[in-house]
Amino acid sequence: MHVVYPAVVSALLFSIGVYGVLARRNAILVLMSVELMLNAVNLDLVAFDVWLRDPLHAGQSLTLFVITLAAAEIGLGLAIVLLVFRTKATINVDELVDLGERAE
Amino acid sequence: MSGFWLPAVPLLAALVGFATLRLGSEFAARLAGLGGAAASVLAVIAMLGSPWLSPVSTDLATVSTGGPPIQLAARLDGLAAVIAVMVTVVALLVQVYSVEYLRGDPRYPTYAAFVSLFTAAMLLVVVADDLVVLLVGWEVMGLCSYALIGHHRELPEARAAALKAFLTTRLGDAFFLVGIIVYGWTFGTFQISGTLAVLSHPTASGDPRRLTVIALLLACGVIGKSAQFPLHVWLPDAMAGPTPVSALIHAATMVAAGVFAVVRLYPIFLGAPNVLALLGVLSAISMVGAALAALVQDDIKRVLAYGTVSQLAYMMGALACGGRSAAVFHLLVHAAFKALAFLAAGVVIHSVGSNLMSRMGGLRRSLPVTSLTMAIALASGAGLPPLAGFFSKESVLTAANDTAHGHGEGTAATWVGWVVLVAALVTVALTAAYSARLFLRTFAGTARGPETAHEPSLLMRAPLVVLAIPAATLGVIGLSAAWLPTWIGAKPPVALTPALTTSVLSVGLALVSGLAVWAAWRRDPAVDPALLLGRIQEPLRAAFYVDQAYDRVLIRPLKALSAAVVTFDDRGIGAVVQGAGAGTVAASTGLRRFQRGNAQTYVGVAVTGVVLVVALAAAAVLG
Repeated sequence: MHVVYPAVVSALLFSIGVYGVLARRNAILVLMSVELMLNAVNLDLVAFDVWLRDPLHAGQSLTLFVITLAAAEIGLGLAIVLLVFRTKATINVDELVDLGERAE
Repeated sequence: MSGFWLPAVPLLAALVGFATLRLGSEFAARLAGLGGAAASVLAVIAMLGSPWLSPVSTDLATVSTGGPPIQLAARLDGLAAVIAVMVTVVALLVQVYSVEYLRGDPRYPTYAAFVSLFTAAMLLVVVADDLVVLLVGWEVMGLCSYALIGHHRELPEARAAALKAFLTTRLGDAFFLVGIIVYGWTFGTFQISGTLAVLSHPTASGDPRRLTVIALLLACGVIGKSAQFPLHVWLPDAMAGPTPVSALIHAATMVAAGVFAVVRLYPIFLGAPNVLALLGVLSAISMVGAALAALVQDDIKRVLAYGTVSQLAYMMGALACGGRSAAVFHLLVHAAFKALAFLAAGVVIHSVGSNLMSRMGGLRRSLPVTSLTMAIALASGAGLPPLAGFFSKESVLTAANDTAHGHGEGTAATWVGWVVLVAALVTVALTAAYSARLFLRTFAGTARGPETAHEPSLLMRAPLVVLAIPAATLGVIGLSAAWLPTWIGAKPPVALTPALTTSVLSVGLALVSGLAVWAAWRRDPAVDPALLLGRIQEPLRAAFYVDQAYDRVLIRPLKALSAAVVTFDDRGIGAVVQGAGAGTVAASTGLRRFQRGNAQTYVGVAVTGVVLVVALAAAAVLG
């Protein structure tokens, strides 16, 4: 299989993830989009690992790292979202602007 | 005995005193008394060992500096021992007197420790055989004078006087330091005795220009320390300190250090006749000017302070005319009578509660011991025979007279002798006048202030009585060549006996002017005899406006300059700093508008940026 197929799939996945992060309002969907981006990278890593016939399999090892990292990130992210929902009764990211500059 | 023991004892007393400030006045008084007594005993032991026959040199260590090495050296010779006895005895009596004078003062322990430190510093100057070691003692004295003059630090005038004393003497000290550096540079060492022995050898000939430079620079420091015109202004103001401190500064330490330094380094000054001439002229100005100013002061301590300036000028005048022994003689006698006069004035101030003579009068009956001892001190100072002051003043006049007639021991020109001689004779008359006025206004006549004066306790009376003995009789030590002249190593030792012409002249002048003041006072005891001077009183009271002139010429321009510097710092440098801060704030206010808190906007901008950069990079690589 030519490397271009997984590369194109990965690029599409990543673009969907970017779109989700920029466009979705629900914080959980934003987190899911972040996961999509991470997995697009994973796909790339594995594909190029095979294509380059890396004797050390650096791509596969990095993929394992990224999976671990993603698990940790989603754990923290969901906990934060839960707390935000408890205090503000919303998880709409457009309304979570407490740290920003007030409009004058 | 090593010379370093002399300063070490009071230094130890001072250090223990500073470490035990919390133990209270009782302990501090005992410690100070013990330290003072131990130092006096040591000085007397040193004197009994005939150090003029076999001087003891101690060289603790040599500090290499890259330039001339510094030697931690002391030399206990006859001159050092004589001065050390004077210093320690006066310091001991001042300590004893202060116990009573400052009773109830919460800062007494600090005061006593500073007096001990002052004594130690003076003794270090006396025994030092290396100019850098001497400088250490010299500067520590400046520090102690600052602390002691400013003892009543709640009074603004005491603070101002302390600062003035410190800065004025410091001005001279800066030149003194440069003088020491030039000395080390010229001779390759800072050591005193060895260099001077070479220099005073008859066949030796130092570079006269170099010697003149060294002597001139050292003389600046001496003029500051010994309060001679034009650096005399600090001494009258130093009266803001407690009276025993005045006795200490005016008699035993500080001002004596300046004269002592010249005596110690005399071969250098002899090699620079021009500097001796300058010293002679300055001493003549100081002598007459200060005595005139003393005539009209109402503050009893200021009269004595101007008297000190004028008496120190006698010593400087003697040194200018080659009268090394005469200067030391007058230094010793002056220490006795001036310390006595100040301590007696302290009793008067203590019992009247004012410094002003217009509030005193008639104290003869209530303070019999004080008035008698003050009479001895003033008569001795005025040079009435057979008191000590007569003999020492005669020795100064003889030295000036010899130089004026071309057979003096020094190297100064004959005109210097004439200047000093005439000024000294005029000052004899003036001294008698202000002494008589002080005594009559304070002790004679009827009381003008509260009539509650009474003799103080024994602790204050005893120092007066003890000091009255040398103030009256110390004159005998100059009468034989085997005594004072031999002790201080005069070559050849010549007895300091009064000469007939000068004695008749000076005693006559003193009696005439003293009697004139008495006659004026007699006519109306309630009126100040100084009023007879009419319109010239005002410039005299202001001491010829020297202070005002300094204020106009030096202090105000300096203050204006400081104000300008402060303004520049505030408006110039400050504006740059403030502007940098304000500019950053203004810039960030604009950028802040974009920070609305919507994380998705931020990410969108970041992604757009990345895309743009990648696109540009790609365009650059491909196209």
